[in-house]
Amino acid sequence: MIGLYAVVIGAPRGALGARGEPVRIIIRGGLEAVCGEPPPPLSPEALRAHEAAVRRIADEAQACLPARFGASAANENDLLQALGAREQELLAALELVRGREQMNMRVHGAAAAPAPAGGPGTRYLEGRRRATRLPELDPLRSSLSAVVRAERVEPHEEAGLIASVYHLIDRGASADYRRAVENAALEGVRLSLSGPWPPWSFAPELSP
Amino acid sequence: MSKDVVAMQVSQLEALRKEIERRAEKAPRWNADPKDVQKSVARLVLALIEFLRKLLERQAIRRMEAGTFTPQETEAVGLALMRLEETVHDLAKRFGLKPEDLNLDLGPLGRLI
Repeated sequence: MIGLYAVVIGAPRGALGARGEPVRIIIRGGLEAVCGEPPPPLSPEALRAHEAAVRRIADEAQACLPARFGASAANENDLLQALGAREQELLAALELVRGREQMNMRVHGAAAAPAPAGGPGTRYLEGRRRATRLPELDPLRSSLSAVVRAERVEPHEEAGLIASVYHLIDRGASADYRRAVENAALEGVRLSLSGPWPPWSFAPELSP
Repeated sequence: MSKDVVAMQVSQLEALRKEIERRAEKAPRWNADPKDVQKSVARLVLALIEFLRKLLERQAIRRMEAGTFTPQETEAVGLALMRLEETVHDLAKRFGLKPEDLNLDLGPLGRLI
């Protein structure tokens, strides 16, 4: 069994895995899979160690698609096959994240009520439009347009938390990003930021 | 329809096909409990319907934003999508499935919807 940390371009030499083991690079076409020991049982420490290993790899690689904790393959052959089957998709994703990292933004507040105009069908569709487009953030989007390369919105159902928004930015641009967010005047929502992170939300599922 | 949209839908359909293949490999075999078989078939069918429903919903939102729907069309499409969602959720509940059980894992493209 092989544990998988990430699929990358420009794998770092001599990187260490979650348990201090030297990682092994398995190559398929233009893809480099950074592998190590099989994943241990799930625990907070094991998760943190995986995250830290991925971060070390991401910091050094030109482009990095992180694998979730637990991603593994029975053997090298299975892994090669899984990579081969998804080569185009993974290469496209790697191009998107090349030289980039991710900022996470949680959007707190009460979801704005859809305009009361129209019947139930119109209100439903308008509600969905607002949940996926988050027009509340439009003023911020224009001031972030110089920094943000891609955006992903994940709507939430919990009270008080409207959505998580993931922004892909160039490496090293997080200070500019934070400044733009802090200076934005938004009505009715509060934002909390974390990052920069490896581009977790822009990676396909990597468990073969 | 722009070329990008077509390309995205093609890669999405490809991802969908792979996900189905992956699930089919994991599906219980002939010796499994019939109830489990029923539940996993229901899960796959409902997940597919939910996937298509979200795709249609996204297209409807795009058309709404582009202003190519009349108010009557918006209302009719919205109502149909709303009812379909209710039906899918009702059926899922009957099989003991949660809404998140109906998520198909389609990678980054899938998560755009």
